[in-house]
Amino acid sequence: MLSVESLQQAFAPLLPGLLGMRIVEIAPERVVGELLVRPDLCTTGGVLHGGAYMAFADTLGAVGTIINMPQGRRTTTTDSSTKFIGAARVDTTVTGECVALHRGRTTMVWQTSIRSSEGKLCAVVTQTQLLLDA
Amino acid sequence: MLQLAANGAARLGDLEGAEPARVVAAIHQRVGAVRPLAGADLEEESSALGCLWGEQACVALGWTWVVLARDGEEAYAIVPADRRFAVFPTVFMFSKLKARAGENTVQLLFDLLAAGDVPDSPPGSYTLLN
Repeated sequence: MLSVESLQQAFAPLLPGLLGMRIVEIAPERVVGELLVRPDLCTTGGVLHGGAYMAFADTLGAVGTIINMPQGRRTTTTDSSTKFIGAARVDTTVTGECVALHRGRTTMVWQTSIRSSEGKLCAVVTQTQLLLDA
Repeated sequence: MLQLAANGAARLGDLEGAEPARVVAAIHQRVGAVRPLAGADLEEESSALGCLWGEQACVALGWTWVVLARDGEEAYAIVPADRRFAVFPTVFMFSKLKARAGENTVQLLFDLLAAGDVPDSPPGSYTLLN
């Protein structure tokens, strides 16, 4: 299985690195990450921007797919749906728990629940990952 | 992970089909008998016995193996479904096998987990118990 350190290194020059997200746990059916709600990730009112939730979750779902797909394949997100339920305040940390709903040979579906540091549900993101030949 | 656990079981003699508590007792005895270890012996014994110990906790408690990055450590860990706690079994075993002195808590930690005698901790906090 991929190491968290290698994933973080791969993310560093990319959008996940810019966001500052950290992977905490990886397992075949579950990926967990954390994101500090920096001021520059917020919208007006000092709450996490919707796009940040979506990018955070998209990355977790991609990681879940990568750790499950055979060598010689790659993945891309083909569909993503987000329900915004609550706000996450600046200078707090949100946690994303991404679980597999479907792990097939050609597609995988992952659902990420993003919670505030108090455990309040802030967003739910469901995405489909297509598996392609590299 | 299961292969490493099998390597650990092979060091303990015939325990096929034994209950987790009996396997953990055998691990505890072996740790007490062989420590302190160093170098490659320490690494190999830690991996084998740590994975075997962790597997017993998974079987007995319904915990699961994950890769966990927490508090500067990244290793295979065992966690309960609500992620209140985490144990790095191979790191735990490494510290016990390396120690020349000090208490051998291999049995104790398993017993505390089995009894639920652990500090209160919120879900998702991955509070380290080793």
